[in-house]
Amino acid sequence: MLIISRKAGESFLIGDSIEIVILESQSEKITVGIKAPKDVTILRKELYEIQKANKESAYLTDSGSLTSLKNILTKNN
Amino acid sequence: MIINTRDFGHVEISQEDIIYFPEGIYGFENTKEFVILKIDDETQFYCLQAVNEVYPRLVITNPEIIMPGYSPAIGKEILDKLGAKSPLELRFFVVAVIPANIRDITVNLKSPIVLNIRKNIAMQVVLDNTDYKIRHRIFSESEGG
Repeated sequence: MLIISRKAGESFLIGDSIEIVILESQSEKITVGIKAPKDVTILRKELYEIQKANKESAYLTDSGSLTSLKNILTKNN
Repeated sequence: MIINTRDFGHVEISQEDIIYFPEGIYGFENTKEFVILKIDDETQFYCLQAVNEVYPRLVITNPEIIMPGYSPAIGKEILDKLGAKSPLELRFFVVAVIPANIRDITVNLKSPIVLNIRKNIAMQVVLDNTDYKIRHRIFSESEGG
């Protein structure tokens, strides 16, 4: 991983078209601004992880796994 | 009305069973209407089934069975969005991921589905400042099985 130190007001570039600006830095939290083309999706990583888990809940689980789930849970209780 | 479900074929539901998600669910933002269908009488796992299509159908459960006392603080902004006056009107569900190896099942305690039981309005809320995980294991890895 590339590690860069920046102060508030400074920025760095990713490729030609994406600029990350450090706006504010406090002890617990930093605020960044992102300048990027409209077709670039920007998502807080936890939202991406939540979407992924939701999709797995929707598509990984078939009726067979529901039956196995029921078996394992009723056995455990 | 009769809906077509992923796991149970055609199921009759009533209009009052429909839960409205004004913002959809993460990953399925365009689906606004769901119903909760019981998988069986013994476990507290449910299907969160889209009303108008077979997909998506997520699997959800009562977080109390995994983490007793689970009752994250819900701010006024969320209460307003749900049309709720008090947190007492809310009920929590968590989304479960059930892989082929059932013992690897996880639930998302970090972003519960919060339902206003009085109005049947719900949303998936991302809890900030918690140690709850998006993939919380129900069974520990060391347990046999």
